[in-house]
Amino acid sequence: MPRCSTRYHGEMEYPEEAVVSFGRGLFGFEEERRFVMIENPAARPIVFLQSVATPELCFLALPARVVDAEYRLEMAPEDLEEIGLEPDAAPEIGGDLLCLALITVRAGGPTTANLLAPVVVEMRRRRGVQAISTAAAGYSHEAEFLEAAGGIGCS
Amino acid sequence: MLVMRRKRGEAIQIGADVEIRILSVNGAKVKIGIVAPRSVPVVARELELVREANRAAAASFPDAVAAVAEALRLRGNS
Repeated sequence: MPRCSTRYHGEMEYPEEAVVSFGRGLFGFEEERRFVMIENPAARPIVFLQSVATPELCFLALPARVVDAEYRLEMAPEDLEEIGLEPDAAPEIGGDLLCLALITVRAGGPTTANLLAPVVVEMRRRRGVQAISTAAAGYSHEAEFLEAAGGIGCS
Repeated sequence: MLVMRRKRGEAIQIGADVEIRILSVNGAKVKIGIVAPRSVPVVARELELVREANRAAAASFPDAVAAVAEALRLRGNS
């Protein structure tokens, strides 16, 4: 079984079929095409989006609906096609479709979740895309999901 | 900020090399054509915001996992 070094979980073995392919990479990380999603029971519901190629690159993510229970996913046709869906499909979170918000933790600053550009993974095909939400609601790229901003810095 | 009113089919010239043309308007959506030299990067503003957001997310500090768990715990209690 292939192995990779991870940022948070040391050296890990992973089955090849666990790898999610991002045909376009992630914005700002266009060369990073292969990630594994690590779930650690002690850290649930956090999902660790770990680059297979770059050990120090691991995004922390939360299911978008953990951040915002009302979150609606609307994707552009080219993003739907990127994960193997029909361009006019109406994507529904759940089932084969996982929708993650990348989390930013700042020392002394607010912890934020990116609901503007969710990472959407089609679990059957293991294909992922970072979509730009086309939802009319106008999500922010850094929705604060913690009300007391900065309160976590002192724990 | 300079604000200009343009109709469908009209254009704006920026400097010698950049032309922005209003191709169609449909309700709240505007289709824009951009003619610019290859050396001028053209990206939707939100893409650049998302690049910056991703870089910040990748740089989350080592105790980030505990911080997110704490944030979730605090939110659950609120």
